[in-house]
Order: sequence, then C-alpha cells, then structure tokens
Amino acid sequence: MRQSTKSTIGVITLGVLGASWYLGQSATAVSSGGFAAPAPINSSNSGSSATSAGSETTNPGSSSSGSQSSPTPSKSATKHSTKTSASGSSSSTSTGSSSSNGSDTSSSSTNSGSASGTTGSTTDTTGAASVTKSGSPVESGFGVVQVSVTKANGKITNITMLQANASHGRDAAFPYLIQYAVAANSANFANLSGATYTTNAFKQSLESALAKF
Amino acid sequence: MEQTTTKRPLILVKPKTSIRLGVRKWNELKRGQDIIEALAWATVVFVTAIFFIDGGAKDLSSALNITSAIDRLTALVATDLLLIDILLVSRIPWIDHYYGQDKATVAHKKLGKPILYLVLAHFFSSVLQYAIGDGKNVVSEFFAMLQIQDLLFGTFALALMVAVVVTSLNFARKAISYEAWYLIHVLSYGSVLAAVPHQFSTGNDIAGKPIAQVYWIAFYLFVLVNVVWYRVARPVLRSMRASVRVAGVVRESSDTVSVYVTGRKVATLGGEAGQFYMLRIMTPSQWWRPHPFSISAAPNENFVRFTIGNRGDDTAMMQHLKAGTRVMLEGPYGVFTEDRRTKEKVVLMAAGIGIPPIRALAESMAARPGDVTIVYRLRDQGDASLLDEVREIARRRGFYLHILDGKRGIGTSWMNVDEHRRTDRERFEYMAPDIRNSDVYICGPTQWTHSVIKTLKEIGTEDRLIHAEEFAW
Repeated sequence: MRQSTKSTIGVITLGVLGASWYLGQSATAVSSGGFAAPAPINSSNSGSSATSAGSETTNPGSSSSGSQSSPTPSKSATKHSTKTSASGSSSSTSTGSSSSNGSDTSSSSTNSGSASGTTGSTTDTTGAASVTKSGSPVESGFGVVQVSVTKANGKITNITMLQANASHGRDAAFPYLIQYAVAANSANFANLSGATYTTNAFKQSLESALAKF
Repeated sequence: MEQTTTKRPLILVKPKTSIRLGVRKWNELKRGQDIIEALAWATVVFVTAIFFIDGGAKDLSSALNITSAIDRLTALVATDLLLIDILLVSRIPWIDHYYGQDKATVAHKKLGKPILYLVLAHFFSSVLQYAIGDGKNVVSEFFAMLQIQDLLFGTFALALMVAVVVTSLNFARKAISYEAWYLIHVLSYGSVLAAVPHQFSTGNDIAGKPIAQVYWIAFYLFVLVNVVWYRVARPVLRSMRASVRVAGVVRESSDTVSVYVTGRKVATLGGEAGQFYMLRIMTPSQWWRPHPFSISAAPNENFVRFTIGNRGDDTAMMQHLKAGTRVMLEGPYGVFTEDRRTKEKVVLMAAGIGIPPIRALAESMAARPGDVTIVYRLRDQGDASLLDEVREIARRRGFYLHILDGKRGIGTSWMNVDEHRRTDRERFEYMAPDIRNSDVYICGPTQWTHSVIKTLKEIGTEDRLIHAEEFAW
C-alpha cells in the first residue's frame, strides 16, 4: 500500500473505531455471562414500559396495570437466588409470569429459573377457565428445561419453569423466553442470541405442552 | 501423436505490435492494489466496529466481561482474516492480476500464524469466561463445553488448524513429506467448515443480528464460490474442454527437456508470455501433485510448451514423460509479463533453468530492433537449454544477447569470471547502457535473482522497473 493511502486509511480506521466505541457506550445490549440481552419487546400482550438492563427500580404493584417490568439479567457472575413468583397475575391482559412481585426491588432476583418447583400455581380468576399443562423435560446441553403453560381463551396467559437449569449464565434467558412466548402466543418467536440451545430446549418443551391442549 | 525425438524447426509467434507504456499504467496498478488492501482492511475494521457498537466493550469492569470481550473480538477478527487468507490462495484472477500468485502465497503464509494466535486467544478466553461464569475450574469447564456438539466441532477445527500451521512452519515443512503436508493442508478446509456451526449457533455477534448475519453469510459464500470455481471447477472444465495431452518430449540439454502439450482447443487457454501453469500429470500417483512451470514459448494455437530441468524431485520423472499422457493445466497465472512493462527499453535476464519465461518474453514482446537486451547466465554453452532458440530470436528480432558462461566470478558476483576484473556493476552498465531507464525481467535461482537486484539498486534502477518471479511454493 502506498504511504499516503496508508495514512488516510489509518486515520479513517481510528475515526470509525473511536465512533463505534462511543456508540457502544450507550448501547442497551449488555453482554453478560455469555449472551446478549435483547432489546425489550413491546406488544399488546406484554406491557409497554420496560426498564433498561441493570436498572435497580421496578414498579411496585404495577401488575394490574398491564405494564410489566422487563426482566433484567444480572451483570454479576454469581448465581442468582431462585425466586418463586407464585402469586401470578389476576388480569387476563397481564403476562404476569415473568414480572417480579411488586414488593421486590432487588434487580438480581427477577431472573433465573423464576419458578422452579411451583407447578400450576397460577390461576386465572377472570371468567374463562384457564388450563395448565406441563411440557416434557428437554436437555439443552446447558441443563434440563421444562415448562408449564397456562392457557385461557386460547391465549397463553402464563408460563412457569418446572425445571430451569442453564449454566454459563444462560439461566438469565428464561424471563425473556417466557416474555417472548407469551407475546407470540406460541413457540414461534426469534431465538435469543447467545442462548440458542436454551431457547431451543425451551421451545421444545413449550411445544410439547401446547400440543396437550 | 508420436514421440518427437528430433528438434522441430523454430516457428515463432508474431510479436505484439503495440504495448501501452508509461508511469500512469504503474499508478493504476498501485491504485488497484490500494483499493484491494483497503477493502480487506475495511472488513476487519467493520467487524470490530460492529462489535463496539453492540456494546461489546462497554462494560469491562469484571473478569467475566473482559474475557467475554476478548473471546468475541478475537473470534470475529480471526474469522475475518481466515476468510481473507483462503481468498489469497484461491487463484482468483484479479488477485493474480494485481499481485501475482507468488506474492499472494507469501501473504497467505504470513497471515497464517497471527490467525492461529487469535483463534487460540479466542479458545482460551472462551473457556475461561465460562469457567468464571460457572464457578468451575477451567479443565472441567472445558470438558463440560465439549458436551455441546457445535463446540466440540469448534475444538476439532482448532486442533486441525494447529496441525496445519505447525506443519507449515519451515522446520516442520522440511521434516515431513510433501504428501503429508498436502493432506494436512487440504484438511484446513475441513477446519474452516467445522468451525462454522458454533459461530452461528452460539456466537453472540451473529445470531439475531441482521447486519452481522448478512455480512458473514455473504463473506462465507463469496469465499466458497471463489474457491470452488477458481480452484476446482474452472481448471477442471478448461482442461476437459482443451483435453490436453503430452504430444512429445524433446531433450534440450543433459538435464532439461521441453514438454509439448497439445489438445483440441489449446488456443482457448490464452495467457501471456512469462506466465506459468500448474501442471498435473494425470497418472494415478501424480495427479494430485501440481507443479508450477513457466511456458517456454509464447502462447500459440498449436501447443503449450514447458522446459523442465531435472532437480531430482518429481521433475526427474518428467524427463521421461510418454507422449499421450493426460495432463491437466491450471492457469495461466503470473504477472511476470509485458503487462507490467512501462519503458521502451527492456533487459531480460535469465540464469540456468530460469530461461523459459525469458525465452517466451523475447519471442512475443513488442519491440523494435535494439530495444531489448538479453542476459543469459549459464555454465556450458554446449549444454544449455534453449540457447539456440534464444540466439535465433535475438538474431531475427535484432536484440542484444550477452551470454555469461563458465565459472562464477569471485565473491558475491552473479556473473561469470571476468578476465578484466571489472565489477558486476561496471559490466552490467556496459552490457545494458540504458539499464536505469529499462524494465528489467529477472528469472533464476533465488540467490542469483537477489544478487542481480542488489546490483540494480546500486545502479539506481527504480523498484517499479524490476520484475522478478518469486517461487514461493
């Protein structure tokens, strides 16, 4: 390469890398424990307000308003304490499952296998009968995944994790997967990047559960 | 076709009547090279920039995040460079046109080790990252990761890549046979392919990111298409169409023969004087071992001719090729051609078995009488290949011919012994008075070529006027 070209390219390179670095500092996606948290999704089913990753605030008592706090994958490398969200939601419009119990404000407790052990604890109190079915357990490569699905009026109203095993920080994927599945009302939603195996296992278990309806 | 045992009458092609000269041609070449290099560099900058924009290096506060960032960035850059490295040896015409296969091969070799280091860094940081995230030790984490099929493939790919690079290191290359090296090197394609699944399934930077996805799929496909077409499909198709065979073998000296290759449509092969083909002898033991040989006669409608010296390896066998033997020709390749010429005056220099491309260039170059000076260094005028032909060409076309025969001069001289004790430089300037203002084409043993270039630099010939074919195979 000629010297003049080299200098020009060098300057442009520094500029591009510098600019992209700067842009990256305000990026919402945070790589943590191996998979990148996706941008919060908005749909009629899930709420519109989603707290950004790493935020310490949740909305106490917001479950009935239809808005749902986005699950926030923890940036810390430590294992998250398992938390059960047994109370569920009373409103049929709320997706409930992945939202934390209003009173809890610790961000790290909102994710990771949120409901292991709580089978079918969710009941829908409004009108239509809601039915809960369990899916088959599926080995993802990172651990066994098994879901339980609650449906009312042909809509998925709640998904709980019967088994939520995913090593390498992949467990942080479950709240997102639940959110996606409820929004899509099926197992037909985009894979979560960086947690593809966990996603696939989740979908498989979900499909086996949906097939029972 | 019967085996030729007597020399054919010398039939020469009509020389070119015009050639574009001037420094602008050189500048265009340099501009093209700059664009190619800038594009290659841009791909590396692009993947790095996308990584930054995604926030890949946003939070480097913990060991986990740092290893994760190293893991991803090294993987991206290594994959990008690896694809470029494959392109360099896929015999793409525009790479050949701008750089020549020899320079491309040299670049390919140079890039090999840095890529391996990046992939190793990716591997270790990745295991470390997961071990930190899982709170396990590195070894058990590694075996846990092997449970995942795509990562198992990825590890396999790494092992292959280590084998490829290590066996290509100079000391190892000497220790193992060509066959072993070749087989391992072919496996490098397997290495690249085995690494693909985990890039798309577990890669943070590809799955679910449309721009990155489009980029990587496009790049992979581009490389795949180029390799399949230019390395495999096109040579096979062209050879089949021309259906080339050995027509005859003519002894040129005690240790060189000319191999005439003909076929139905040999004229369609094209090419230029100074170029070379990868020649494959299509026998059960030889078909997979291509050898580069320059054509020793300008491209014509009747035959392709190689003049092959016996160097004790496969070239020994080629001294006794039978007429009718099927061969396959890949090419022609190379930039040791008139295309690179920018001056009216030309000096053509050969030593020993470096004569074939020089002989072909002398035959077909656009030149007036007196424009071209040929310098031929050899041991014994009675046993020099193509000497009669070179003499005949010089006589017919009015070129100067200097034959430097006999023992080598003292010290670092690249000429023969001079009874007047002049330096190489003095003699060179005497033989080719226009040497500063001439294009110089040099073909000979590496040591000799370097000595000539050294003298040229002393004289003050510009780099762009020096054309030397480097055999890097």
